[in-house]
Amino acid sequence: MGMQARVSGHSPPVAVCRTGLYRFILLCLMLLVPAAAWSQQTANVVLITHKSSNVDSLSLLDIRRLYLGFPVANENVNRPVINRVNEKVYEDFLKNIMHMTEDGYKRKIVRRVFRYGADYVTELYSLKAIARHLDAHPNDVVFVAIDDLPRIKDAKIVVRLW
Amino acid sequence: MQKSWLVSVSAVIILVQACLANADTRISGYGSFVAGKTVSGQYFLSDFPKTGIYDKDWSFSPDTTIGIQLSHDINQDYSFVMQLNAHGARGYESEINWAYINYQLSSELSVQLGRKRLPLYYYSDFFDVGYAYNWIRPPADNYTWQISNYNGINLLYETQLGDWDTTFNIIIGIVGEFNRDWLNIRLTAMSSELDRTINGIQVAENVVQQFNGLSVNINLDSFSLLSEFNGYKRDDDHIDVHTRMLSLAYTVSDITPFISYSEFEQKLTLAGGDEHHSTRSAGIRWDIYHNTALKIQYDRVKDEGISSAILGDSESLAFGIDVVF
Repeated sequence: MGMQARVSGHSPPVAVCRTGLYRFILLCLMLLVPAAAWSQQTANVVLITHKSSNVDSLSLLDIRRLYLGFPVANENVNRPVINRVNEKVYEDFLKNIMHMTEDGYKRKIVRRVFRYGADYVTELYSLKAIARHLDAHPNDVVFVAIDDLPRIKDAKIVVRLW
Repeated sequence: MQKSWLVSVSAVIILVQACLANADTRISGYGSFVAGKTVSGQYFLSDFPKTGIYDKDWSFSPDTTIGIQLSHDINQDYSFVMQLNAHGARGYESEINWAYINYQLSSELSVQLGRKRLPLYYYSDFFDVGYAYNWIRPPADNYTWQISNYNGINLLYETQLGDWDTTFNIIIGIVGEFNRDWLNIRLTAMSSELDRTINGIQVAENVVQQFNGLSVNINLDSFSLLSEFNGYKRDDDHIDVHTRMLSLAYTVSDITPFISYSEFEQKLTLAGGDEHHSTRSAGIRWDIYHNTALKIQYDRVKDEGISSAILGDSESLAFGIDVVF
């Protein structure tokens, strides 16, 4: 009895402790999972062009070829543009679509320029500049975070990238 | 020399004017400004084809190169590319390395007619563009072929095979390049006939020569492993040459330290030729700006040829800055 009392007397704090531990682990998981997902990938990103453009669709393969400086079968599309407004979007684009690091991509483009006379890919550093560029070059394409889309006037989504 | 500079400057002015006058014309360029010297031994041959040689005094000439490129889209299918270079090792005389017309037959197939770099080695096409690689210059033991350009026609087929970006360049042989994520493989197989005249005397006629090459490059996030193996054979005079190169690099932020080993080995010929030399290199590339890299490199050469010794053993140091625009 004394033993039972002692056991029962000790039981509630152990149970409370275990429950607390589980809650703590659960809370950590709840916090970590979205954080991990966020750190792996940015918000939704789309490839856009000007609303007056004839470019209606592009495959991921064509997008990759375009950004590597190769010609693509879709004759409507002109030149690709790199969006440097959000560095995370740029890094994720290189990782998800180009499958290469920034360093590897830059050197590949330099080789392409001096091997085949290809063009450097234009880099733009503000949403205003992107909007202006698409106005002037309606058949060019650029990747942007979907959250930034309302700030680019007259844009048309070509394809959702991720 | 002055005449050469005048020609170069005039050509550049014409190119710039052409670009300003036409939106379909692009101008791009590169420069490698390198200073170096031997720290032991007499000489270091840094560039075999152009005979770029360092000695005990600081010199800017052996590896310094500048180039300017003009590309013009004549129409949707035709374009024109011209590249003008000046090398310190050749007294900064201007040369036209590229001048060709490209006809785009389809999105994957094109034909080029004119003057181009001979794409024997992995780095042949952009040998002069120092920014495109880690070293001060591609390993000299590998890049010994005397002819770097050709005038003619080639067919270029660039397509996607499954997950692989592939390029086939058909010329006097075939060059195949296969890219997939972190892996790059390049194969070369070329065959040609050699005619050579020295001081008016024909020393070779219709001699068949064969060149084969393999490059395997692995580029993971920060780590890269580059390799190149080439073989050259000329049965008539029993020339049999093998070259190999291995380089490791690890990038931390903007800094890329690297080490390399390269070797040239010629099997003993009937004439007693036994050229054999190797180079161990270590260096650092520092990307200081999006189009500019600073480099420092140490090379230790071991020359083991007896009847065909080149310039003996040496150790050398070089500093350089590479730019592209």
